[in-house]
Amino acid sequence: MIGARTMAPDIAFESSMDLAIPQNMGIAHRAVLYDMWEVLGMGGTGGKTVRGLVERLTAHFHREEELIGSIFSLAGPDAPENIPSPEEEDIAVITAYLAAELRDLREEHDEFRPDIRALLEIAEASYDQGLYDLALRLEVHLSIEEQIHFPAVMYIGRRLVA
Amino acid sequence: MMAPPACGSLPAHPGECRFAGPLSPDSLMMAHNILERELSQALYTGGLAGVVAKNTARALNVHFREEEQTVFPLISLIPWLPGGRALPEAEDVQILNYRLAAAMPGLLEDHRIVTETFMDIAEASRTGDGGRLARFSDLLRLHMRTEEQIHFPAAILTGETLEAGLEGHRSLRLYFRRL
Repeated sequence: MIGARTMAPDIAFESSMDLAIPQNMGIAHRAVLYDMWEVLGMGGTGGKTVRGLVERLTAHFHREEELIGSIFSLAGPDAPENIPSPEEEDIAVITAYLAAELRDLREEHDEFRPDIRALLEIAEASYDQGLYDLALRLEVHLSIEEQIHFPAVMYIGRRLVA
Repeated sequence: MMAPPACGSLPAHPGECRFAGPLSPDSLMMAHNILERELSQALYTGGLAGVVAKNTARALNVHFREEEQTVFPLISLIPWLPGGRALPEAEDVQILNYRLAAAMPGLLEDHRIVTETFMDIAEASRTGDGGRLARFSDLLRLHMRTEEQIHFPAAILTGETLEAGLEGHRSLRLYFRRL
């Protein structure tokens, strides 16, 4: 079970609004990973599944932060005043690149889902509310990215280069 | 025997619903539901911290419902942004924009008050039963920060874009200035 605990000090918040959007995304990712690290020592199929997921999620999150974070930061309060307008032919390249990257990220989400389902089933079978919550939070995290963050990034990307 | 319902809106406990793969556009509702469940577990904390947490929980409940009625409807229209599906009626979007603009100052103020209150409670009770409150406080701040930096601006941008066919940067700039 995931017991009562707090997040590690290095991801603790300050009260002021001094975080840029990419940093916030990184914090959300690390919060998910910290929860998973809590159950890394778990035995059996569940432990093996969690360890495999953590390894793949770490690389996946890093990739998301580089792509999505950088686009969001261009639309946020710290965006540079004048973003250079790309040449006509570059626009198609940039939007195609964004679309391809987001499609890849979405496919990776789908590759994680069988493992998340497995964790939910293990949690149900063993009445492990903590593990269930962990798997559910991960699924919700992926869904929010797909339903909000990915389309928003695609739209902002299009607007920035149009 | 009937199969348990799909995990659409509130898959609160193991066995209560079946997992149905990728979630419907209810993902944000589920994020609220998960937070409320975490809070309900943390409310077992005794003492003054528990009492203050219970009072703040009521305010948080009202706040979540307000967001669900003002911010979420516009976010659900993201797929209608140019390049997506056919645009919804401009008048409908106009009403949603009006509601969001009216609610936004209050929502941001709620965030400030609620997170500060829970930070104070959590700080005072980081050990023992209070650990759950501290964990909830961390999760809540992360959730609210993400709303402020991504979901609220996305709602504003979507609403203005759909209403006027423009990139909704006017209100977005005002919003970030307010932050």
